Amino acid sequence: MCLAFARGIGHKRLMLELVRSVPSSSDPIDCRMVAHDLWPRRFLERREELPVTLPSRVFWPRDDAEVQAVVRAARVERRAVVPFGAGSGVCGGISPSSTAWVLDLKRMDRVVSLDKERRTVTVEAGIIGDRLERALNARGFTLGHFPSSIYCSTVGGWVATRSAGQLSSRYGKIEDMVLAVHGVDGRGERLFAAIDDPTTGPAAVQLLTGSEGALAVLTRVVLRVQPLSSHRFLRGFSFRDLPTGLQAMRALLAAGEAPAVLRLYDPLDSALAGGAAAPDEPLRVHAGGIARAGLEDSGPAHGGDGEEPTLFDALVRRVEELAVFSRPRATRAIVGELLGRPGLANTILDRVHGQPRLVVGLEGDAADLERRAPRLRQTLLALGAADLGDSPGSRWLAHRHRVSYRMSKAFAVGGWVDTCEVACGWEQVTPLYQAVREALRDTALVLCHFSHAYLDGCSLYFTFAGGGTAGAGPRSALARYDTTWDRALTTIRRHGAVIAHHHGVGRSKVRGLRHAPGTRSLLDELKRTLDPDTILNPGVLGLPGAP
Amino acid sequence: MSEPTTTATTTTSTLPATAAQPALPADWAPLVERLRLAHLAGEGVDVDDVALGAPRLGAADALVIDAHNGLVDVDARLSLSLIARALRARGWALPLLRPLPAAPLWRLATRAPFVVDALVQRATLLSVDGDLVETPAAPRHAAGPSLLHTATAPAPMAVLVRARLRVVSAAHTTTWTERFDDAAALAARVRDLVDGARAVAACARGRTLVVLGGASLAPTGSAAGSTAPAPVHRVDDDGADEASDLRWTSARSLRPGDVFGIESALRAGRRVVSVPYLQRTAVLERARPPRALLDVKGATAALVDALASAPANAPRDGSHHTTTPTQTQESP
Ligand SMILES: Cc1cc2nc3c(=O)[nH]c(=O)nc-3n(C[C@H](O)[C@H](O)[C@H](O)COP(=O)(O)OP(=O)(O)OC[C@H]3O[C@@H](n4cnc5c(N)ncnc54)[C@H](O)[C@@H]3O)c2cc1C
Repeated sequence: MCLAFARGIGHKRLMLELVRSVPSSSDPIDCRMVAHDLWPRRFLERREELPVTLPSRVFWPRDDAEVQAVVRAARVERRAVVPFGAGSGVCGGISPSSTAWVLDLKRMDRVVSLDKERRTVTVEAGIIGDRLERALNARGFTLGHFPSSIYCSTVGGWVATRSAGQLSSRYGKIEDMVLAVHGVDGRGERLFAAIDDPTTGPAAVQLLTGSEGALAVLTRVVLRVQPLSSHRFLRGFSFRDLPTGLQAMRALLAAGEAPAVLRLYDPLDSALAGGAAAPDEPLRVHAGGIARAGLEDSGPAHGGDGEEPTLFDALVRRVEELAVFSRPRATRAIVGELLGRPGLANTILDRVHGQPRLVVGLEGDAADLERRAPRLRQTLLALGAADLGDSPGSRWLAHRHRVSYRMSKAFAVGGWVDTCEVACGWEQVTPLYQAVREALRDTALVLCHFSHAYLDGCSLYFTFAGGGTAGAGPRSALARYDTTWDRALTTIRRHGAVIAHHHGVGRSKVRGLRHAPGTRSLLDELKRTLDPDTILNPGVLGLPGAP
Repeated sequence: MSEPTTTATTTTSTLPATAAQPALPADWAPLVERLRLAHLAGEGVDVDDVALGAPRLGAADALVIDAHNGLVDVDARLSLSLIARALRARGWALPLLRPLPAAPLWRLATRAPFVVDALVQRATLLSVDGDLVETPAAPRHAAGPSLLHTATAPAPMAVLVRARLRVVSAAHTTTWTERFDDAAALAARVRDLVDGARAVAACARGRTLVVLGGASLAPTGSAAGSTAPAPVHRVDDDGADEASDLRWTSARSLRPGDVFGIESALRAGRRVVSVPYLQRTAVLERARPPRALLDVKGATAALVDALASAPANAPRDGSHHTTTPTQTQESP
């Protein structure tokens, strides 16, 4: 008994000794940097001057052994450990308690090896997406994974959240690209799973994928890569209504086209974007695949002209047009006011008659695209499309990563913006789209686009924008934000759609999960076995552990 | 590929997003009881030792096809070969080329994860503790760990009771054959098909490749590495190679671009099957790796043990190859 006790003390000392060599900081500024992700609710809380909880320490491990040391020491100390990629998550996946340790993986950022023949790349989990893509491009390859956040998200974060990129209809989601994972579980044990390892098989890979840091810290990932395409073709089309546009998307997939880009914008989004038809513009095949062309010239912007116009900018422009004056301050105030009166704003926007716009892009060699492009155009025209020419495609290509990394301007005028991405079978897409817009009519403005399509269903990507209730006090924006999400999640569930397609569940959508007892017990057992002390990112995915 | 059709024989109903509060089908009750008794005795149940009796699938209307999404709901006690036959009669096909195994789907799932990976969109599972589990109805696993894969773990935590399978319309696909000089060229072609993500299914054996895909994909000239102009000949409506007596019972998943793995499987006389549009590849085998049904706790522990013991064998670069060449690797 005494010996066991002494051994226990020795073990504890050893664990704490080992963790001391891992670079770390408890400086409040360092801890502030990893205190939360980009969940918009956190910005609202900050605006309302609600306190921010800082973790007790942030670690920057350099290899698997150091990750193991941190997890083991945390287990001894019964502290939560929260894996942190780049913090670009938008669902509250990172929300450490004041006693928690954060494991920031960004020092584990090496491209370990590239196997050109088997077309695989092995990378450490903390590498930022565009660094990996550039390294691959330099060798003639692409991963084909282009989330808008490619400049501020990591491979580990992608796998942990089942991320999707802009070219998903050609290259798949990240879960289609993951071939093997290395990690450390909540016991501090190293793990390895590979789809071609008979002892683990695809099962283990797919059980760790999407686990949002709650089952293991992913340290290294093997992904499939592909040679860069030599040419691209991009074109815009419009449709008389949304169902016709959706039907056209589905028909293209059914014809075996696998377009690299397939993005349909709803009428409002299309109208706010503007643009005119150019049916006579000749079909043009350009040198350079979409994968390569994207990164070279569409980098992140820091404000000004280069930035992709947001819903806020589009509204400002509309108000300016309607008001026939250009007083930026007044216009912004009006837009702020509109965000606070979504019922009124929606009634005005109902009068904006846009036509859904589709951007389609193909990749391949020149001869292949010269053959496919006219056929694709013909197919779409036969399905009721009007040809908008090259410009919607080239515009999309040029701006595709120019998302703003600053807080949305809507926050500055008392409003808020958030996104919600769900997925369902094709027959549910239009009813769900209409139902969500209807359910949120008096709480938010709603835009939607459809950019991840499959033969058996499609994802809907909603943007919600709103504000506080006029004269209802400082916390009213927060209250309306929560009401909007409650209503959205209820509507999504009622339509049988899944509550997340590629952002994960985090904490923001846990209330939308309704696990039946059988599901619960499978998930709980996985958690119990891999993380018996529930120290790994407690609270995400509705898994056991203090939120 | 799949498209709505108005032919009288096709059911075009839309399948429910999730079944409302599923009840355990009576036919499965004996398995639950058997598992319960085995657990009390601290034993597992050999999957080969479970007979569940197959439902009849004589009448075509036993299959409900969702033509809108290209999906069909099936009882997992049916075999893929039976399902394929019934689908063919209705103008639809599985995204897999024949020969298809006669083993029931639920048992196949435990030995051929590839089948679940590529074919199953969602499922009703029976956990080995006797609970029914509905996996989400979505084109991708979408959120959290994929529960579907609890049925494909080496010690399964659950078995398939019903499955929603992806199917394609025969009216929109064609089948062609390509022949190659050697296994290496054929392996490279399989890899390229999967990279292209456009064909529905491919089956390679020896030096021959049969492909199922959209009509526009069929090569018009000589395919890369092929000795004969393609298409060499049209095979029957779902690419059947009826002469074959090869009935597989398990499948080993491959990295889709693993040309060396594909080539060595071909040289060993194995079939390599792919579902290019879903980017999955596997080698078909006749081995029957032992599969025991434990309780959830035992099955999870077995999986985690496998995860924890694998790193010892895994190369430092994280790759895990079944064949040798590493000279092609490059550290950037
Ligand atoms: C402007 C903008 C655009 C976006 N566009 C897209 C898009 O197009 N597609 C898309 O899919 N997403 C998009 N996102 C969301 C976000 O970028 C993704 O969720 C991304 O995958 C998160 O990566 P990260 O490295 O920043 O992870 P983090 O935010 O750091 O973490 C996300 C979750 O994963 C866990 N985690 C992180 N790393 C690891 C690891 N190594 N091991 C275990 N768990 C880990 C965390 O604990 C957390 O639960 C966007 C976000 C922003 C802000």
